[in-house]
Amino acid sequence: MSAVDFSIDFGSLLGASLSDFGRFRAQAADMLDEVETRWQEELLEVWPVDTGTSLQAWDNFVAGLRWTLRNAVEYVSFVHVEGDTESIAEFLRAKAQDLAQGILPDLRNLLAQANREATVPRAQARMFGRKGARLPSPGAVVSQAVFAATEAAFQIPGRGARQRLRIRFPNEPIGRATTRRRSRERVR
Amino acid sequence: MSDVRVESNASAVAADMRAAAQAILDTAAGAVAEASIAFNEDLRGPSPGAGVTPFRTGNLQSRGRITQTGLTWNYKNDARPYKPSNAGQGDRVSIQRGKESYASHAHFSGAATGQFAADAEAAFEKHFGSELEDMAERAIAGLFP
Repeated sequence: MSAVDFSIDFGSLLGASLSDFGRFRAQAADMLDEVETRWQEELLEVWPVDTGTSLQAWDNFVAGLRWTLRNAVEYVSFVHVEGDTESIAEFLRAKAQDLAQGILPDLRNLLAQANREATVPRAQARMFGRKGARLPSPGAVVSQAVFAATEAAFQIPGRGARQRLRIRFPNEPIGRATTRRRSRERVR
Repeated sequence: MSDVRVESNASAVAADMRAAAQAILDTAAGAVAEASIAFNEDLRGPSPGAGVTPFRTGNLQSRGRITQTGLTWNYKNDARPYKPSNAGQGDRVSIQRGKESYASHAHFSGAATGQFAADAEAAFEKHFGSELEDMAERAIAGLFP
């Protein structure tokens, strides 16, 4: 059992940053917004909810060309539909990869159009772009450190997500009596 | 008589500085992680709908996240309505996402409009205000006694 992080960096896949899309930048951002939304729909369709902890812990957002998909809860890789041993996180990872593969050709086309229109030759621009020296932003460093710390906080023996709830709400039932069941067959 | 040799210890100093910076980053990240976990527990409660977040589909609960701009932390919830667009026309129901978020209007049945936003703001203020400050003070005191 562990946390999961299967974020997808379209910048690496395309060898570009969002600014390289020029006047097509908004279109590229809309495509990323679309896959983020569709993945969120899948998540809400298939994720079983008991306490809601692991559902709430999903990070699904786009910043630049990076699509962040991660969850720091310690048992998230283990979550599965009752009667089915397949990890739902793995199903959602595959879904994210399918969605990403689906928009890559369109993103490449947009990028090619932007390159044709670019006033600065791409080879020259690259010196300061992805191929040049680029340090990770302080914001990204801090964000990753917080995710790692959140993951570590759940890994401390006796401090897992459910144990935390029991400590914080000692007189209340944890989770619901019946887990909401949802079939993944419907969405395949 | 012999040569004069002077060595710089700059690489060792730089390594110490990196280690110190990493320790401070880890400490600060740990404090923020604790604050965000406690804040999310307040939002959620011991089970869906038992905290300050109304729960029906899970959309409102799962669309909230703590964002970071520089060293400023914010809570953002951009839950937008999901509307089945071709229900009954096949196995897969296509869902169209609404354009406007309803998070600012969300409330429990019988509660005032916007109650969720007010409660979330109060919980955020609690965990990312005084409690985070106290936690950071304790952690820094541990690093530099």
